[in-house]
Amino acid sequence: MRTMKLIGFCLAACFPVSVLAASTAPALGERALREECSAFSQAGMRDCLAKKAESSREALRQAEEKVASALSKWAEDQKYINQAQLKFAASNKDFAQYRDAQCAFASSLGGGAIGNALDMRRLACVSELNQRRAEQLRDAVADLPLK
Amino acid sequence: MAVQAPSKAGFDKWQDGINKAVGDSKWNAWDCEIQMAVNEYNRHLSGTAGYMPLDWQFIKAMIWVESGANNSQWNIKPMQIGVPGDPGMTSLLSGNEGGDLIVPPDWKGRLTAGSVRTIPAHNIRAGIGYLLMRMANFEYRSTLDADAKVYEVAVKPGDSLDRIAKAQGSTVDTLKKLNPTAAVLRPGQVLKYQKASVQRVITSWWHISTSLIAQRYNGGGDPNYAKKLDHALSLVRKGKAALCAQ
Repeated sequence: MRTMKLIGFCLAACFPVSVLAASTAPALGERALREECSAFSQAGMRDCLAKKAESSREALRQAEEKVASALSKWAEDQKYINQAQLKFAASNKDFAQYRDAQCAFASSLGGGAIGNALDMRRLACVSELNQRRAEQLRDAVADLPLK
Repeated sequence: MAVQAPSKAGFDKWQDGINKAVGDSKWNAWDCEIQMAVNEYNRHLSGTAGYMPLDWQFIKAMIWVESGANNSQWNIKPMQIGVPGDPGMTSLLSGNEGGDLIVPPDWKGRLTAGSVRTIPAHNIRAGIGYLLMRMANFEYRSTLDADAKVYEVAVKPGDSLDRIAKAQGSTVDTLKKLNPTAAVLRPGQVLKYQKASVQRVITSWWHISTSLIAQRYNGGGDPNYAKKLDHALSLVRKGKAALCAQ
């Protein structure tokens, strides 16, 4: 236990701040999110998951901004920058479409349950996919050489 | 390093909160309403396909899990049926999924989308109704009308049993039963029939349990629902209920 604490302390103290800032906690799976929000009654659980979904949307928005900004500063010929920007826009659009379809499917697995259960599944799914996508986007441009 | 999800943390936190509910009278606020509503359903459904009377304490445990006295929903939608986007309430009230057989006659028309969403007593009744609808097995069966008289009809060219049944307000099953030899129809042939219609009927009931409620009412949104319900039920059974004038 003592050793663990020491390792933990070193992880926090020994790494440069920039490394810590770039590494965000890994995205939780939708089931883990539902487990976490299970601390509340069903009414509270739905609110808890709605908040998770909201913050995942914000995380995704920030990651998208980060990619857009990185692409605009990319040390590459404009032709390739344009190409990457177009692909990025297309991939955002297709991701949103995939996410909505996938989460509608996840929600449908609640069968004939009342609304909270269906929405909980949908919200947990949206949170997971947004957070994973945000992680992917952050990683995608992490090593991009900038002008 | 893979981060393991806090698999028990959520449930444990919930449990800590609910354990304080025992002995707090506000958690018994809906006891009498629940008992009244469950009695109405039990009276209405007794005698249908081996119905076992519902224990009102299941419903009390459910509202502890669904909303709980510390949540503002406790005084609006304690059973949480009718939340935005809930197809459950609509399927109960539409009647055509079996809700018309479940809801006691006195409450038909009184339970509306608006009342279920705003009046706790109505929300409780709709929640029980939906739960029971999900615990019943239904089938479409040919059912004779109150008029038991046997009529006769002559077969016309191009007729089929289906066509005759539709035209005379009967069913194919009834025609077949009353005319066992009429496998092939000939024009002029006389068939017997009784007034009948194909109706949805309850054929059997699931045996109610906490895991079945979790499955059929909550649909697994909360992975700990059945466990919570078991815990709430044990607290409800141990605790005191409100005294109700019956």
